[in-house]
Amino acid sequence: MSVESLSVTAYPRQSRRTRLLQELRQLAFALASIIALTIIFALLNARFMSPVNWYHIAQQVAIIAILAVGQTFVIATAGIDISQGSVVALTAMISALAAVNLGMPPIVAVLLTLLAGALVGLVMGLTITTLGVPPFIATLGMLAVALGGALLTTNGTPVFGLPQGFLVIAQGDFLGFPHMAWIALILALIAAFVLNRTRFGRYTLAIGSNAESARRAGIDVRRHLTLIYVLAGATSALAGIVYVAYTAAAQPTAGQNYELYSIAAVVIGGGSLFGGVGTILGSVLGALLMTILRNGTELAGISPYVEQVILGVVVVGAVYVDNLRRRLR
Amino acid sequence: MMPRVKSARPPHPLLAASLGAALALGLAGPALAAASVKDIPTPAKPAKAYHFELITKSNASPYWLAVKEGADAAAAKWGVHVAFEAPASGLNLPAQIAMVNNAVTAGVDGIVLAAQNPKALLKPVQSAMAHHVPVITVDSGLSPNIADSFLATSNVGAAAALARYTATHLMDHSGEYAIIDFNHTSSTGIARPTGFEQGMKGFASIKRMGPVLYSENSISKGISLASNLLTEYPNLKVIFGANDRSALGPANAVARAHGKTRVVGFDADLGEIPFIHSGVIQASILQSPYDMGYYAVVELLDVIQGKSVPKRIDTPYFLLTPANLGSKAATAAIRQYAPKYQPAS
Repeated sequence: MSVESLSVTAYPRQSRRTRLLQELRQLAFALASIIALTIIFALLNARFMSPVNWYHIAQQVAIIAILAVGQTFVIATAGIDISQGSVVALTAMISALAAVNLGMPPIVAVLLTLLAGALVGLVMGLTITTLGVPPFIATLGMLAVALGGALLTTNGTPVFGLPQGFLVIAQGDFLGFPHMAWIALILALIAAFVLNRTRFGRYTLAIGSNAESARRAGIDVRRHLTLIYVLAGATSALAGIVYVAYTAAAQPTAGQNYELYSIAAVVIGGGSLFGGVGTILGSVLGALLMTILRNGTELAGISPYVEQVILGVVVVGAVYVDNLRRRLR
Repeated sequence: MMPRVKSARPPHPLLAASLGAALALGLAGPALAAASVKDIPTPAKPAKAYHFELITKSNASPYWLAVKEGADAAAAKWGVHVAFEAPASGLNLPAQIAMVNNAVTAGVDGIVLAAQNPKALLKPVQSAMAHHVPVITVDSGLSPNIADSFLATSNVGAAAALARYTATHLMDHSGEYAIIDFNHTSSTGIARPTGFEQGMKGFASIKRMGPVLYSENSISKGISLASNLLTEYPNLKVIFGANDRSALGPANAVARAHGKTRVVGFDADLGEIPFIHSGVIQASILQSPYDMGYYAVVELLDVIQGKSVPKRIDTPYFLLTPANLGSKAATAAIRQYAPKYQPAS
């Protein structure tokens, strides 16, 4: 699989059209599922297609989509970041403490929180690249450390009373589209550009395809990987900020298990845990698919237990269809 | 919606009145001007089969399923539908917020909500009410209480009464105790330890050991927290577990250690009954989750029909002890949690 995907990414001379077609095929499962689910849910409850519901879906997808962007970069390098949920909790607490207890202006609190997230990422990146700890273990360690840190900030108590200037990050809308969805969309557009059109993106995929040949080709793999985790930490922090603004509360238990949803989003969107493949658009569609599934089952009055079962089947089905497609080609 | 297998069962509003009231006498702190379930008007036959939605904090705890049983029974009696939704974890706020928003979008005729957080759910509930969807909160309300009505145990009062019972009957007015709470982000998680401490204040030679610990609703975490407590404080007389999961953990740990420590708590799922029988759990406050679900649906019908309902309703509670286990009142109280419960003969 890795050799094949290297051919996709390492030879930029391929025509743009061929690449686009290949990407579209990768997205086929997610796109087809989204269309199918939309039709089913629209038939089950006419209000599913109402503008207010799509406004809610846009709100509901934002946090997972933001996390999925960071996760896409990490998974593209054949790594994994399972610390995301806990980093959301830690940065949620940091942002709220900065904005409420320390009375910082919202913009300063946001920048400080992004910096904290980047620092968390730096620690994970250095643990992986200089100590040689596998990504799964390094981020598992951070999962525990960040959760403990989140609980320690206030001894477990939630923080309320965020200023309006902070809440507006998620609450309110622009051109009829919720702020938090704009944040996710802009982040995704930037990330897609970086992954597809820049040297940074090509290096990312090359390292995921084969780290050794990337190193021999002159890429500073250690530095690059460390940077990827710094970016992942910062995106988790962004998700933490949006979480706080959306719920108007910072809880040290925020974001639990969100890493599982972001990993699922990447996988549904055609990303491979073996690295070297993955697109931002695919991951965002993966996040959207899960959100539509949840929203639609709730509107149709389908039991939440059934929704969990469907979600599991979709994740495994996505990977199966992807493998099938590769073998048939 | 889901087919109902169980037959409708009338609620039992009087079961706890006597003991609960007796225990609550002399309660410290401000008395809440709360009504009781008897003050809820009986609705007329509904004009149509309304669709309501019940949104609890999490979807797999016996306690919330008991609320659902009650809501289903009322739905069957009045010929309406109640759909059940809840996040898998009691700590997933965005999921619960989404559920309230989605229910409004789906065009439900009313919502019964147990709020994961008293502040974060304010906005979605405001939006529901702006869309003329009545909202009744149960067990865990909102701050401020903007819902049409809030049905819950007086958690502070019940916990204080439990503390006084514990101090006089189990601790002989002196000694050490510890508290295992389930979280301190929800209103109930905050109120119960507060009430317990309030009740213990009157006893000078009783003291709490260590900080308030948190089981996060995990029985296994409760077991390990309690085991550590038993090691650290060998003279510990009592552990207070603030809900079913938080009492079950310490009960398991105490039973394994064969020590003299005893557990007091809130709630009773079927896993706790053997521990009450064997005396490991010496006292537990039983709430009325079934009644909460039942009367919340009744109140939704009242609100739709323009009848006025009390803003705050104290649901009854019952103090279960090894001594009264098997009594008619105790069986009725346990059936609030497990409708099919039969006392061991």
